[in-house]
Amino acid sequence: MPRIPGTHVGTGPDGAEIFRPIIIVAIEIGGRGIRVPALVDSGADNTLVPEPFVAPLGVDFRKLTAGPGGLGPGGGLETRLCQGVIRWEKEKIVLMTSFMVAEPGKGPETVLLGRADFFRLYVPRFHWHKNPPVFDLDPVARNG
Amino acid sequence: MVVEDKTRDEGLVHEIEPAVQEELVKHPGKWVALTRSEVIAIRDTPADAYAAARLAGIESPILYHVPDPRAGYSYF
Repeated sequence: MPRIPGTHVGTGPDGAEIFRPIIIVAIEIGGRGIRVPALVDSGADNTLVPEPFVAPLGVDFRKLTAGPGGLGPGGGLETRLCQGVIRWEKEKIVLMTSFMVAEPGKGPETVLLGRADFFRLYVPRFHWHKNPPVFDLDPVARNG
Repeated sequence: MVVEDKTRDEGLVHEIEPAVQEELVKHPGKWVALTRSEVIAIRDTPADAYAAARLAGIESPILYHVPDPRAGYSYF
């Protein structure tokens, strides 16, 4: 498994450069697909997809099955279950076949890869003491 | 004694090429359609960015919302 450099996303208010553990995934629904960034997020219970990423694929949030909802530093959040494939293209692996979608106008700016699904497939190791930061995603099968 | 794993530092695999990352950070808050190696379109909405990339002949662009670290705290 290759070691992946953190993605540089800007400079914080304290002048420090900010890097995030991001991979590129493909979301595929009904024969249509889109490629988007996804953040490896140990703080997320489940994988969560922003609504603008599935809207181009013909998904109407209002017609999705209601989910458990969510609560984070940004406040309450309605989530709904969506059937679709999320694939990590570089590793040619299907990560999941359903996921939660955040209500329009709320939630994250990118896909959050959470513990209940993604973290059962990969063991992340963050090396944010390095410059630039890097992270490993080791397949669970390799770790036992 | 702390032993650091340095065995995998060679052969780093970038999900987005560093030059593209540096271009992206110039546009906080914008929606960008890109490939791993090239910025295709910078717009205010995801739909506009996606449509611009399709018009440019990119069938499967990466749709990226540039974070705004000036906010000081990010939800995700």
